[in-house]
Amino acid sequence: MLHAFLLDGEAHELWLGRSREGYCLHAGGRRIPVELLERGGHAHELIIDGDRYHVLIARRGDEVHVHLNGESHLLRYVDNLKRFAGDPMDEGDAVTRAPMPGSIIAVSVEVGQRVRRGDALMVIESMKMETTINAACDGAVQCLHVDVGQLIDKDALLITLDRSASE
Amino acid sequence: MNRIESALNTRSADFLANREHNLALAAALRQQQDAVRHQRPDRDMQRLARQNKLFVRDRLRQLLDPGTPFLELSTLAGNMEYDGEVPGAGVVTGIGIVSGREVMVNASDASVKGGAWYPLSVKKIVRATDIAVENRLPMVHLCDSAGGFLPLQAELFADRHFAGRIFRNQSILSKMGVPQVAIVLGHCTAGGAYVPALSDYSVIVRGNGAIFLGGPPLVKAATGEEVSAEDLGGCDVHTRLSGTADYPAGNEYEAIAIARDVVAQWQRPQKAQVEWQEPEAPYYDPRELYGIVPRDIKVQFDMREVIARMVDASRFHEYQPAYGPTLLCGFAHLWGYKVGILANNGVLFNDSAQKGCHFIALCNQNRTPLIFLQNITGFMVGRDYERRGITKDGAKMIMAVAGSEVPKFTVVCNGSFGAGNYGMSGRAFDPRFLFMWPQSQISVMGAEQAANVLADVKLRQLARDGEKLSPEQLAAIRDPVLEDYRRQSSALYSTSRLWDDGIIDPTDTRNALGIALSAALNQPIAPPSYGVFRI
Repeated sequence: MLHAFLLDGEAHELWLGRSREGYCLHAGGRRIPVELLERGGHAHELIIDGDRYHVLIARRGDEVHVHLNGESHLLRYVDNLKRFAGDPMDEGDAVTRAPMPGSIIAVSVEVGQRVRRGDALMVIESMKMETTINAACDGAVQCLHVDVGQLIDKDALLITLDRSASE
Repeated sequence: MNRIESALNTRSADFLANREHNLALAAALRQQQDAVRHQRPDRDMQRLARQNKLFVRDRLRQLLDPGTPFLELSTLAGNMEYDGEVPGAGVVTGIGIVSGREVMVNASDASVKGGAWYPLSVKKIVRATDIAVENRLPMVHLCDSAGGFLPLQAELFADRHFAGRIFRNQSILSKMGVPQVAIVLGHCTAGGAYVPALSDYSVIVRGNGAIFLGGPPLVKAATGEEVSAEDLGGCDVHTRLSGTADYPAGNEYEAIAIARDVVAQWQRPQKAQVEWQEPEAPYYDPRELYGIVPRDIKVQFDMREVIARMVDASRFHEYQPAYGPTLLCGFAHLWGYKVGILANNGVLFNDSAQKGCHFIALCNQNRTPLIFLQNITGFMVGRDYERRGITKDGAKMIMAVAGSEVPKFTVVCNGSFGAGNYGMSGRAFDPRFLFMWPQSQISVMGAEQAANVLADVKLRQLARDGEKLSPEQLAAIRDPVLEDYRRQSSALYSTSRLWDDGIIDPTDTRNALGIALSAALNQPIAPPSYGVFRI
């Protein structure tokens, strides 16, 4: 699985492989010998298929700023885990269930109300603890299955969100 | 270490004729492999596309590190069974690199009968798990199988090395501390459900992935309960409720990315210490192998010429060059690894068998992996040889081969007949890997010898009653035997039934053995120990 980079907003699939002589870049079905030599500070000498370039490189997290031939470029690494993370259209996120048996001590939303991921929906009390139930995704409250004061079992349905209502 | 001095005349008529013959065989092999790997009826590929599934070859491309080698095993398994309709026995297995680690891959091919397990599919998966156990190779399972092919269940379910062995081997791998990750890309039904369940890690694709002991139709038949596949054993059921699978994934790409990240967490193995030096390409061109291997299996050739086109710098330290010359023994380096090579230069006599036995002991003593290059018609027969104890000397060699603790690798370069197959580490002697060259033949004896023996038996039966056979009657006995033997002793027949780990182009032998050697060194090498030698 190739690595993905965004170069000035455009996606590229690349891989840095080993060869007998050193590194080679796999790009667009081709293998290109590459070498990067440090020249002090941000300065580097980049050798691509025998051609030499002087570049300035600065890294911050997954972003790399490259200054080459009088132009600046922003290169961003996109981890495949994040890149392919599926559309989280998962029924499980839209349906909130009780994490343990207890009682409802507060409900902070009403039917139809729009919520964002992480918003507090209700508070349950159980085992000498108060636990806030947060929205697992954006959406609108479709159905409140419980009232304040009600006793609940583990995995009882608490709230169903309508995800299609999220913009 | 001396370089082998090649005596090959690359301009001779023989060389050129052999080359033409063997190049044609290599081209036919590539064409057959290509068909098995890539050619599928349109409707099957369209079905995959409709199901939003990647073809198994595309899944592998995503799984493996780009630009790294993949040693695919038994590509042509099943080519002579099931009317040729189950390419590769519906499974892809092989050794590849995932997140920088050597792993054994076992991937269902859902384009073939929905990935159903035929008897040879089971044999191929069992072999892959056997290799993983023998070589301490971590495994990645790409699961997408309809389950056992029910009409042939008698040939895949109950016996010791049938389907249950897959789950036994998975459990043993885990017990050995060798990790496995399963990616559930389709349904894993019945026995197949245990592949992800017995893996140390598992990823499941939402929508397509499902794991259940009984699928929806079986549940309906058994209890009347009507339930969808997703609700019975889908991604959310297993990652949120049952804990049967570990990581939910939104699509196949994400699932493979997660599995690659799982493999990246695994500890890299400590390899067994063997002699190694910087690799060097063979001095002689491996493509000349095509001109060395004779177009007629009966024609003898010098295995030094083969070794010279396989080992580093074509250098070979020959052991006992003057004694027992029909068995070449000696040391060389292959992709840098020090190896001991045993190669046939004729029939095995008393002295050659003893030499082989001694050399195997030497290699075990100094932890040198063994490579057997087979071109063997058998041990010598006849009164003189029996009196000199040819059976006893053969038994010594077999005892040494079987008791060997260093990893063994076997390449059938040409003929592999009779007990010679045993002495030269045939399949039954657990070489870590066994490969065949395209023109090679393997059987208990040669086709013509077998036809003659059977005709002779019949002639003597008739002679007792004073009858004779007409030439036509003789041919009627001989010809079917010849035909059966020719078919059943071919490399294609052998590989169809998984008597080997695949047919390889002779010029690929060096690379295949290099990958096999590297994989084998995941397993520590035990100190030498043998049974009782009949001295």
